[in-house]
Amino acid sequence: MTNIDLIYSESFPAKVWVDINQPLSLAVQTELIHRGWKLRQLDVCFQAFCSATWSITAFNEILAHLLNDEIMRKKIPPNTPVLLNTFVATSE
Amino acid sequence: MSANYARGELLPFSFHRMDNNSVVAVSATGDYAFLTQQELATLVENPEKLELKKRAELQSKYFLKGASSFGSEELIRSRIAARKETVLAGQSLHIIVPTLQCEHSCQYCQVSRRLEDVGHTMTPTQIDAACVTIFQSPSSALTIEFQGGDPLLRFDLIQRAINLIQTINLVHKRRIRFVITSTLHQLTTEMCEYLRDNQVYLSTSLDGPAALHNKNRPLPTRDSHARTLSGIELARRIIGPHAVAALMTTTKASLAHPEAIVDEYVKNGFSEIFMRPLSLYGFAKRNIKHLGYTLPEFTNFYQKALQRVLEWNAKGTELREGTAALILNKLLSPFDAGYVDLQSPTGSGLAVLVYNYDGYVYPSDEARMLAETGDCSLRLGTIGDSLAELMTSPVMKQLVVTSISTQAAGCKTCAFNSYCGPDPVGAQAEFGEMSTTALLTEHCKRHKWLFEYFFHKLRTADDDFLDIAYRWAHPSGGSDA
Amino acid sequence: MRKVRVQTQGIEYRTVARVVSLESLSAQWQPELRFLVRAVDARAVTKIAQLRSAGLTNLILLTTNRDAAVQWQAETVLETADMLIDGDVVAVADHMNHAHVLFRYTDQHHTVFLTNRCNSYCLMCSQPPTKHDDSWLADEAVQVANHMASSPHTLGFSGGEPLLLGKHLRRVLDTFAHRHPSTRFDVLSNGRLLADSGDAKHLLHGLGERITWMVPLYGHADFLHDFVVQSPGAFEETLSGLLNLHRFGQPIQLRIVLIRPVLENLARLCEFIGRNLPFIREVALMACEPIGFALANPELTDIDLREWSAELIGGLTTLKRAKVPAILMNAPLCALPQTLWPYAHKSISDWKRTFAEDCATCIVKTECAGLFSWHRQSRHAMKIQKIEGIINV
Repeated sequence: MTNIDLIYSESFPAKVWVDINQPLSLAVQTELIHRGWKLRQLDVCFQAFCSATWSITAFNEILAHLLNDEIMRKKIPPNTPVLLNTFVATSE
Repeated sequence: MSANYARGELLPFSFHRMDNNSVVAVSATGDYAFLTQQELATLVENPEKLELKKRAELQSKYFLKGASSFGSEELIRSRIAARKETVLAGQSLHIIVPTLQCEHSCQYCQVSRRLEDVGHTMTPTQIDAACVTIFQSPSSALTIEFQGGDPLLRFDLIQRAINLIQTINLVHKRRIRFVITSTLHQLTTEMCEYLRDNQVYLSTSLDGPAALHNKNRPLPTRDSHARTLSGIELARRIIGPHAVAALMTTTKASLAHPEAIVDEYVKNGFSEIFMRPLSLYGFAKRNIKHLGYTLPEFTNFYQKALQRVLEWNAKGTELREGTAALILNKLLSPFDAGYVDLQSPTGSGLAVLVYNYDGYVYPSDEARMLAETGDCSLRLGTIGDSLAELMTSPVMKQLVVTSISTQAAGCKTCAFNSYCGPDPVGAQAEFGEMSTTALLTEHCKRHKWLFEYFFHKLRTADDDFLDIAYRWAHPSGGSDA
Repeated sequence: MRKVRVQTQGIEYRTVARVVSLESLSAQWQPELRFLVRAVDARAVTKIAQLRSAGLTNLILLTTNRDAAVQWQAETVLETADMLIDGDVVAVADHMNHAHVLFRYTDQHHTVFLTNRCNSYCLMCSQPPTKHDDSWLADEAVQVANHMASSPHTLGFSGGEPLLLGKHLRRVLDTFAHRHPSTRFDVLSNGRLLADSGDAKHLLHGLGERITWMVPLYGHADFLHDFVVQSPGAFEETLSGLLNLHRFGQPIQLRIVLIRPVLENLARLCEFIGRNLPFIREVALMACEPIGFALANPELTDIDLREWSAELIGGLTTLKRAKVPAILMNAPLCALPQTLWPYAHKSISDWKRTFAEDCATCIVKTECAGLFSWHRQSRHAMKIQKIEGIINV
């Protein structure tokens, strides 16, 4: 499981921007946004908007999954664009 | 070609997280499997431990290799090629824009000009040259679509093109379909007779019930809806019951009326409705603040509209929703339905060409609309250039290179990349740069939502929904986006 | 194939001949064929003898009269009753106790048997293969084509595995196509030897579309299919063969025998077919013949289709959604849910079909495929239940 440091502890109840002390790839950023989370960038650090309904626990959970998913994907062979030659030829 | 691979070796695939406990995994052929977290981990780390039925399923969907796989590998290649039929077979859709004149002044329209504007019309020579280029396409089926403005305002040019194409086709013998996209307000009996005699179909805009339609499409006489309906009635009376197809555009005003829009289509005897979101570029960019809406607003609208469509089907009324059909074709059918959208490499230029009133050839409808806003960077060439010249232009090469979903950043790890492809024309319009990472584009966000939504529906589908889904997914004749 | 008890003399080697009446002989006679000419009385026998002396040495006497046969010096076939019909193409020889009827026009189904060798060993094989060289069957098939006086609507080729004929298969197919241009043909084959594109091209190039290839597929993964056919590597070879058949424009029917390991995976198999092989013309789901190897593996092959209604409905629904046509063969209607009756075909060959006692008063008997003649009610899981009452067939 990935360790995410937060400035505010999990028990903090109010609406707040929490720091994510992890670099987030563009893919993970867009995934989080796709799932409805609000993100903003502050200097080099990202922050997520958490509240009672968009809880810090839920955020931890989904982010952990997404980061693990990225690691998992590296174990899968990439889809080499075996047909690319077909299409480069098409445009010539 | 024959080789022995260790049993259980992984083939390329990706996955999309459905929820905290499950994913949908999609292989290079576009076959999918719902997996629990545990099954995914086992597949990736210890495939030999997979339960036999699961392993058989995952082998049959090309996530895993069998003991030897030369037959399966041929199948994989033929499956992938089948998905790319539309872009491999040559340009099947040719759009001719003979004039930009139109009597409407729709706020979201990128292209229209007032009726009395001149200088926005093709010459007969250009019409003839476009027809010659059309036949340089290797595609055995050709759809020629007339757009505008309102192309009926230059019916003479339409007739010139149709007559010339039919003459050339006596030699070529391709399967040819003609479509005219128009408000139908200028439609006359004489025109209908010509269309009937030459098997020309009509496509018109119907945004919803009268109040909504007239609000979206203002006329000084405020009766766009009524005039469109009477054009539809005239066409059906003279040409036949299936003479007209209708499309709608979703505006901010539309968002409150999903059910009423669907009902309006049923009321007027249409068997297909295409819930299309607004492209927020072109003229409309000026008005984004009060015309624009967010993706969640659209998806909320879309779900309600689709629900209404399914309700009509349950009551025995055949009604197909076009966006759903497009997505379901990707997920459920091995055949490419022929939509020019969602192709990799892009359908723009490879599947469709636009011969514009301004004398230039564009790779898609959106590209010529972009030119109206001042960005002419997507011109492939001039009308009269050969197809080979158009296809070897730097613009065309750039379009191909930026739209290979298994190569583009962000796309290559996306679970949906065998169903989808980057839209470089859209990226150009949104960001001024064709090679913008697809992840940032409206195109990606919207389609990611659609794929995920339909996977959720399929996972919990009952037999009735599956029957409809497969019926919609199967390519029917003559689909052009 | 039908066997008719006869006694022959003077026929040292197995010979193919056409049965013909004396009256019809003059219209049909050709020097390169052989004829079994029926003599109904002594006068006819004399006439045939005269024709032979005149140089028609390709005539064989066919009679039920033992004395006439004994007196006859040349080739004779003695029937015990009139069991051979005019137009029959038969194979006869002194060492055989029977005439093999290789073709009878009035049969509903026609099959030409090409070899008893096979490269698979299916668990439920109804015709267990042998290993010896039977390539003479290919020559005999050519003879059958030549001797058939009429052209049936459809004719099937089977074995064993017809592709084992190698280049001779094309010769057989071409002969039949040439002699019987209006006939449509079926070839029952596992397709494995068409995996090689070179071999496929040699056999299939220029073959046209009058042949339908009936290819068995028993699983959606190699270990499933290979288990049923008891041959490692068969699945991949069959897939490759199917793609080559498609490449050469050959119509294909997939055959799926409904034994336990297949039924357990039927839904996924049909899904696999719909997604990967959508070009096939038809899928035939076939109830298993209780004969041959099937008897040695009853726990896998002796099943009651009634227990598998859900799987059958699921598989057929999947194929329907994929727009792949499908039929059910060899299954009596009482073993199928009524919703599947439209799929059921009357497919058991005349000479091997029977009905059980109970069937006599069944109201859908005329629509039913019936049973295989070696079906024994008491021995098999699938019991017959006559249908009574009002049914909309």
